[in-house]
Amino acid sequence: MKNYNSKTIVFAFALLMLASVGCSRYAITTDLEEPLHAGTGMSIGAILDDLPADTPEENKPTYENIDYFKEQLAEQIEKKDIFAGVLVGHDNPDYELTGSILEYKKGSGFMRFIFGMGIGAAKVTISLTLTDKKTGEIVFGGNYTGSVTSEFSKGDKMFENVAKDFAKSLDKSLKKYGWKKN
Amino acid sequence: MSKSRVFIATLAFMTCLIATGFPAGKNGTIILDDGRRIDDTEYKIVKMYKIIEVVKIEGVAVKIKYSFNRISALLDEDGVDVTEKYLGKYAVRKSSPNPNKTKPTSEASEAKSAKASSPTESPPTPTDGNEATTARQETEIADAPTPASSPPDTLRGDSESETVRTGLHESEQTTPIPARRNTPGETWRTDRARQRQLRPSYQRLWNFGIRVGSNFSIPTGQFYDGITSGPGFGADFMVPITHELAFRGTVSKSGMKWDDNFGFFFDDPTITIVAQDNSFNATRISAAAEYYFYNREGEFPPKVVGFFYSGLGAIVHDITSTITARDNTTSQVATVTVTDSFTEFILVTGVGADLMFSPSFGLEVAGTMDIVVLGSKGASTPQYAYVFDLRLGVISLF
Repeated sequence: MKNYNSKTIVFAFALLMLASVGCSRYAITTDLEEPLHAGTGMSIGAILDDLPADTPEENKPTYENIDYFKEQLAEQIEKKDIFAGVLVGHDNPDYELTGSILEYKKGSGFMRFIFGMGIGAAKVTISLTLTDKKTGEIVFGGNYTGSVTSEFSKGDKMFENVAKDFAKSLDKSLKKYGWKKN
Repeated sequence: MSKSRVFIATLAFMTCLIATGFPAGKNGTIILDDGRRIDDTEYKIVKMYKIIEVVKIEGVAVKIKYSFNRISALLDEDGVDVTEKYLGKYAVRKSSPNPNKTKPTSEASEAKSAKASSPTESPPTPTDGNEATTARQETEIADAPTPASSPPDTLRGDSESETVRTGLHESEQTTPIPARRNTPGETWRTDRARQRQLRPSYQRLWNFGIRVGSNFSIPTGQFYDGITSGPGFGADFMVPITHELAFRGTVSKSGMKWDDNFGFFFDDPTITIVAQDNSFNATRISAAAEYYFYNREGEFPPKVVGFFYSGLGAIVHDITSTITARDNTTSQVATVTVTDSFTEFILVTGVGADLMFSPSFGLEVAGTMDIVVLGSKGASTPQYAYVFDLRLGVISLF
């Protein structure tokens, strides 16, 4: 059998690790069937509590977390120039983005700082759906996970990660249709 | 072991690890929260993303994903409800009290017939497995009711304002609440910082308070041998930090007395003490943290507020003796006044209650214990003495 040098082994191992941990952080449940209407506006609607029924109140995110998440969603979607405008809580949008939080672990910044290695990690799983308000149809949606394991990151970073992933996945889906940015 | 074997072993291990990470397929029926029933399916549960991935319907390969929050029930091939078995704690959720949970079979049948007749419904389209999903399968969720949840939170609303009780004066003022973007249906709690802002119990209920009262001090311990208890007076000044906590500064004078058997005398027989007046006073100055407790479920502002405090300070002892003596040889009479003062460190602690007659005025009853730290004073261990106070006074809040 051919002998492999140490660099080859390290490279192969790194490749395997990447293959195992570098998977996407979301699963699309409803993909776009057609491009979005050009020049439309989007509103960010309700982010609901769909955590398991036995989740104690203190283990749930706060209004402040949700506000931050909505701001991040608006910011990240705006960056992609998909919509003519992105508003939070607008009454009459063309599209509305809503969500349900399915999993939330606040984590501990202190534990992350002291121990690292995933101890004290924060994690959130959110189901996000984009609805065409005119037809009432869900045009795009998926479940997104965000986590923070770094000792130097705040737990809120996971919401930012989810927002980025949503904007990225929507943009990616639109590109299949040769979507032109606003 | 050669490097190639290490490589192969690592590869095999990682392959196994990855392979075991893929969930095994399950067969049965999926009932969605909109009542749709998908029979004869093979599906996988991907807990990482909280989704169920349908891979086959009636033997035809498909790739459809449903979020856990869309699943009403999972039935196995025998029609047994396996929702809890497969979804665990996600089998029951706050926002989806779907009746299909309890009656999966009958309602699912109705859903099935509804599905057949509905023009908007289309059965999942078989795909080649490369597409991420079949679109439009989640249409109905748009019309799903908002969660049956608690009443709308008072924090909600963009330009809402809220009346907040701000003091014992029972005055109410309208405090503007910062604009929020929460939407009806959202039932999240607010964080502690905001609770402090809004909850009356976290408010500073008054700007400062004063207590004035008389006390009866009881000194104990070897250090105070020959000193008896006596009345005094004192005053406190409180500055609230929160409604529960205040800084407290105290100055009090304890009118202790010498014991009747105590007195001065001269060794010289030619001098006779005609009269002597000895006094002993202790002045205490202390700083403490004072914590308030009251019935949070009861009337507000509370009529009875308990408190305890703890802190440190100093006690200044003043001795004054006025002695009138006569020289027996000359019959000359003279009066001499002798004074002395010494200070010791004290630890103060106490408990009491304020009985409020009005929001800003009340009666105070308290008991305190001051530990006088005397140092070693020649002994092998630190020596302590104690001064107990019983206090009755009045309190005014401003």
